[in-house]
Amino acid sequence: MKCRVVKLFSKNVVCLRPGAGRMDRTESMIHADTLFSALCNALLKLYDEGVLLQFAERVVLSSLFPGLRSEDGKDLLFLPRPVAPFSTSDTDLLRRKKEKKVSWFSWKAFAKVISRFNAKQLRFDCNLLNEEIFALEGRFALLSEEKEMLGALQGFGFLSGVEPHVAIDRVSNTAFEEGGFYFQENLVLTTGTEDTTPFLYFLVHYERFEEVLQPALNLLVEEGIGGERHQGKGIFDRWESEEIELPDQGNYLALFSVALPNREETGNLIYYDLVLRRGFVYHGGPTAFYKKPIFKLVEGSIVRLPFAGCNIDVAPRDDYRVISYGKALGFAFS
Amino acid sequence: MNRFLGKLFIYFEIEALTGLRIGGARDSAEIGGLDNPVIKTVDGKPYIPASSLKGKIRCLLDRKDGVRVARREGDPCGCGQCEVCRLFGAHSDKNKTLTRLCFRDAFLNFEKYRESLKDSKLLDDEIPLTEEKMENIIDRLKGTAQHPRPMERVPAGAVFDGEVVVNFYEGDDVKKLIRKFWEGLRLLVDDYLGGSGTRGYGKVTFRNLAFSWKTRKDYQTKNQAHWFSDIPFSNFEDADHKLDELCEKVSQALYGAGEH
Repeated sequence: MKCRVVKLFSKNVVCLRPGAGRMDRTESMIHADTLFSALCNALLKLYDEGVLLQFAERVVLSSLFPGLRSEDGKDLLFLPRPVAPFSTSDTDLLRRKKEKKVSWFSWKAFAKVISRFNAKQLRFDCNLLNEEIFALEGRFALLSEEKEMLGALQGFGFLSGVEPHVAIDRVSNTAFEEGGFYFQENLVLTTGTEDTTPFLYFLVHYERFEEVLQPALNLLVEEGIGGERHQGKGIFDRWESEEIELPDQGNYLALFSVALPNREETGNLIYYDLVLRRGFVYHGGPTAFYKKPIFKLVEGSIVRLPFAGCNIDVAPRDDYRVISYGKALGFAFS
Repeated sequence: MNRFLGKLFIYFEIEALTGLRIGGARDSAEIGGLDNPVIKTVDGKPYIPASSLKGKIRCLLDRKDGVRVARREGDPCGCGQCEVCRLFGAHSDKNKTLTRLCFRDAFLNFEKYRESLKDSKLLDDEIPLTEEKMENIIDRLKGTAQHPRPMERVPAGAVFDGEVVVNFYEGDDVKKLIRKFWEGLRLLVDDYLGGSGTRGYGKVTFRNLAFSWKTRKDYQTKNQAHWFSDIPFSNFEDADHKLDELCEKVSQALYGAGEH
């Protein structure tokens, strides 16, 4: 399947606030449904509801993942670790801890891991500690042939930064005694070296990319993704895109998006984790409503094909329609 | 829902004319460490959080215009009708309005900061990004110092790159909203930003102001911004004189032919 890789760049620190129910908590990444919702809001600002509904029906997209651009302009894109177990013959517990820590793979490393899937035992016969094949740096795994990028990975990754905030009393000019001082956690994508540029990217499959999605992306980078956008969180400066061929033939699928199985697909789940998706609905107006909470499969879950996933209405009221994204986009393999 | 019309982008540099102190959180209790650090980015450089700018400007406007409806005494205005509520979003569950203003964090412009210290002969890795200022209370009878406390602050001369975006929706009085926001900037220049302002901290000014706008149609076509002036306004007063012209142009562009 032909997809677009859309890369979101910020000239300053990439700082987001994907809320997790409390001001001092954030999600560990921007999920596909949050991205979908942000795109829908941008589309609704530019076009009418007809365009939005067509988009919601046809689009398939992934969650936002981290990427790193080196000094010479090469991009290293990372994918989440599959949820399925990995076999390792290493008995050194310290080394095994190093292997367990890995949560992101470069595309090449991901393809290598996926090619080692043991369909009989439903696990990856793949030793990440084999230095002839893999090179590990903290939470990231590369192929040994990509070793020259290891240095750039130092200090790269998501950090949670805590910002203190004060609500000032208009009368006394001091912080309110109750709730006046609080902390807000943000998700920050950092890099330890000045000559590399961290960015976020997602995959999207949509026929009317140039015509409809491109204007929405122009607006989206300025509108922002996630919470506290009026404080500049989740804002980007520019975006770039390129085409990519994503394998879609095979017996299994490693998910790149939070997905919701159709009723008949629930038997196709192999390895998965669940994430509770809830929160408030922002619908282009000022009033927020609490959405129906729902569990979805996380990125990296392994399912048996066919598996398309579905969008679901999570509107809290009958007079509203709130589409929660749940379609599956992923890497197919056998 | 009112249709989106476009955005006005306001770019500026904020220069600290006196020491600037926006409090941050301590990562660890270091022995001999500073009790009152300023807020810093993950790479240790001080910055002005968007929320500080937004909160201060709103507070100044609230004080000037008066708060019509508040949930409790001392809260921001929540009437949902006034320009302050329209710009910043009403502070109320019942009278919600869309937030039209979007502030961005203002990051330290290290090149300009270094330039301001060029006569000091400091090397790059020696240039201090903050200074320590001791504060105390003098015993009125003995004349001795009590409660000494070190305060960290960003030294005068530091320059931060800032940006504010104003969103406009159908039915908005574009000129009124821009003028109200500008009034907030004027109030800030005459007041202070951050803490300890009554002790002389936080006097700031705006420099190198530039304005651009994009209409809904611009996003759908080439995504190119329209600039008000080719050269930025070097100081706040110069930009202030051109405000009426800016309001007129933005209003015309947003409500112009084919846009409404």
